[in-house]
Amino acid sequence: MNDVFVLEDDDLTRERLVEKITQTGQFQVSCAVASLAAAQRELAAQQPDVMLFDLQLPDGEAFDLIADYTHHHPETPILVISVFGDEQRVVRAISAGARGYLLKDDSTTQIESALSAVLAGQSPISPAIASHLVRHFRNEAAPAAAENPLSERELEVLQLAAKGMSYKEVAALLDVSVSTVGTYTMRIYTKLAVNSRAEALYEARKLGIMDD
Amino acid sequence: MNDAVANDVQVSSEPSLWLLFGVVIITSPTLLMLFSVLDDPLSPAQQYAAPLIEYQFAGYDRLPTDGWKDIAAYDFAEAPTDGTSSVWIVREVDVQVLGSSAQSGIFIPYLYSNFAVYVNGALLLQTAPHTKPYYVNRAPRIIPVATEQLRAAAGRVVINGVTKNPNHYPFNMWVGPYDEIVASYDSHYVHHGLAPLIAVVVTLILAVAMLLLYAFDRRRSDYGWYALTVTLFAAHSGWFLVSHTPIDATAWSLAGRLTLFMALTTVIFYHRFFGYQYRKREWFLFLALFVSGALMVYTAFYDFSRYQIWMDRFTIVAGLVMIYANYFIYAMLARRRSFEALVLAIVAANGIVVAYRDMFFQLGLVESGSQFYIQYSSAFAALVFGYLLIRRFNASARQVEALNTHLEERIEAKSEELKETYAALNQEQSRRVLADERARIMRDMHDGLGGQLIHALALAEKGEQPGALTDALGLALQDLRLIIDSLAPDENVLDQLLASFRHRSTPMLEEAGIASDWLLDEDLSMQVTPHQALALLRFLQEGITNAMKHARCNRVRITVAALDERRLRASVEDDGIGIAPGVKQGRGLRNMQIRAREMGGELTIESTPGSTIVAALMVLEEVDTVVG
Repeated sequence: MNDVFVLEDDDLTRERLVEKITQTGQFQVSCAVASLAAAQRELAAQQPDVMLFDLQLPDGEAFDLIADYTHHHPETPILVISVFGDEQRVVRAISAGARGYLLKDDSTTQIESALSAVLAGQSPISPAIASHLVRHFRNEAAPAAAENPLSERELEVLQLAAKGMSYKEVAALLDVSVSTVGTYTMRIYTKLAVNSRAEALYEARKLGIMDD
Repeated sequence: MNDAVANDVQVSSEPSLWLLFGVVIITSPTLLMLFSVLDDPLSPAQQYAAPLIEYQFAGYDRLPTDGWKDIAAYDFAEAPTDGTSSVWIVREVDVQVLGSSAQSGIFIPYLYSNFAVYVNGALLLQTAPHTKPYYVNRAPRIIPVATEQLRAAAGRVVINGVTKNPNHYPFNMWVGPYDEIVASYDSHYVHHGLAPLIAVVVTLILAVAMLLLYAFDRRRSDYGWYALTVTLFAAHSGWFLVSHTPIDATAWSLAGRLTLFMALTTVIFYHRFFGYQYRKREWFLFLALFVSGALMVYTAFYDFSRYQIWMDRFTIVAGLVMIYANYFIYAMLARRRSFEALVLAIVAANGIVVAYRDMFFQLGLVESGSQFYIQYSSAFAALVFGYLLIRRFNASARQVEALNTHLEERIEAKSEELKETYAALNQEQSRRVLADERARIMRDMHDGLGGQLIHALALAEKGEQPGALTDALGLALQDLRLIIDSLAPDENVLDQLLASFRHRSTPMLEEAGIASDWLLDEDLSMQVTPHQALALLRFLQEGITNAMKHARCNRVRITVAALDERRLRASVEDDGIGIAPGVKQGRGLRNMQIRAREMGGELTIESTPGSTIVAALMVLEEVDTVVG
């Protein structure tokens, strides 16, 4: 049994999520909280296996918490609970260190596969996120992106995903297994987060906020 | 008038004025002349001067003044036959000063006619046929003579000229050792021959330059009048320098005299320079000159005995015109008090002084200098006029430059303004486009999502079983996704829209156990309006839903193909049971009909058991692009 930590402020949604996670039989919810403050308090005391974060909470946005937690516990994956059409914020969360996303109306099956996949080191991706990342990594003006570029394979995965292909289709086209595609995606996300971190540091140094 | 004032530069604002004034004074021929009055540095040593001992003026109706003697004994040349008179000048050489040199020289700096030179009774030189009109040969002359010949008798040199005016003959004459006399002659020639010649050439170059300026801009008639005036100046000055008439002597004399029309062109130049158009005055002055000049020309050829009189009258008229020119310039100076007026007034005053001096010289009242100075004065005036015009030209060039700079600034400001206007228009346009689009989207939402939610609400109110409600809400959510997709800011490019749709539809079909083929054209980068995008997505969604619900198929094929830049064909194909003829008006198909029409095309259905193709043609609307 893997412990899942849930941060979601809407009671019904949270309850629905907890119910569906419990239904999987493979995961259990160790803690479900409704605010950033509560999450910070609880996380100091326990170490879950995977976390589900809503982004918009009554006491602020979860991006800083994601960045902070990922920095100290890089081994614990965070999935963002997203609503449909919110890709911009999902990308921001991934830059902060999130490993993927769930949609609020996902079915039990979808939730289960998403959780197992992320624990196995695979991440989901949507065409909107993929095309955003293609643009990001192609943008040579970003100083850190050039230092930590994507491999050719990773770029291929992104480009196919941007066309709306499923992992299965991508895997068939690239002649790899479906899980490998998910692994590529996870790696891409990690590079994005590392780059974002480096960029933030670079900007901070440039502004003289932080010493070398 | 105002233009003229604007062109004028005020004296007070001219720091170099006094410097220039100094230069004018120093280079002034007036000063030069004053020097020569005090002590003619150009004259040979006093001991070589051959003093006048006798002179005679024969055959003239108005007999000369006191001092003229009858020296008829010297009348060894043929007597004049045309009413002119013979003038005899006798000078005596102090043979002691000649020393031991075998060769001596006679230096005559100026003579106002053709002449013959006799030494001790023997003819030494005759400049030209002894005929009319003789008023040439003004250049300095040196005549070599054997010292022996001068010593042979009392050393008398007799000059015989022909004139009507004895006053033309009070020239100086020096006789001495040839080398020394030649040195004097050379120096004299530089000052009275070469220098004026250079001045004449420079003046002519200026004239050509100004004429070109005038040719390029005909409105600047002051340049044109300047060119004409200084050309006449040059001709007039050059006329003084020529020793041998290149054409018929009468014509040459007349040509030189007629250059005095420069008095008129000077007046017109002054007028134009200050921006005036005194046509009546100018015509009056022209007529006065023209009439007297015409009579002078007439008498030269048909009534030669009166030629001298008309020549004098013409000269007087020209002098009066020149006096008017001076008056005008002084008036300008008084009125404008400008730098230009001041400089011109100095030039004009200088001209008057030199003219009087030359007149006195001609009348025999001034002896030293031995030469006219008017050509210096003319060249000087030409140079100063030229300087003023170039100065003006330069000023206007700078003005144009300043204007250009200003113009550039103004153009920049204007284009900035235009840009702003354009941006505002654009903004207005895009605002309108957005408003239109928003209205359509709202209608679309109302049609789909609104209806589905109301349906769900009705189900909930009736207390229907949760399954039906879930389905209804699921449909509403699905439509919401399509609406959001069609509105996504980056995704009104067709292939990105379809990618999201495919990404969402594939797992759904998979869950239903249906395999999907997506045949999307590689190049679907055309832009579509949100309204059309929604119609296309709804069409495909409806097609997939119908296949899932009714077709009992294993596989669907979704195709979007570009027929050309403006037309697409979208189809959903399944391998299901086909549509029974009676079902054609079913709800799903009616919806698809509506979507197809919104896409701008018509629905086509080909259905047999095992293959159903629902297709629509889509004609893309023009997307209003917003120019940033």
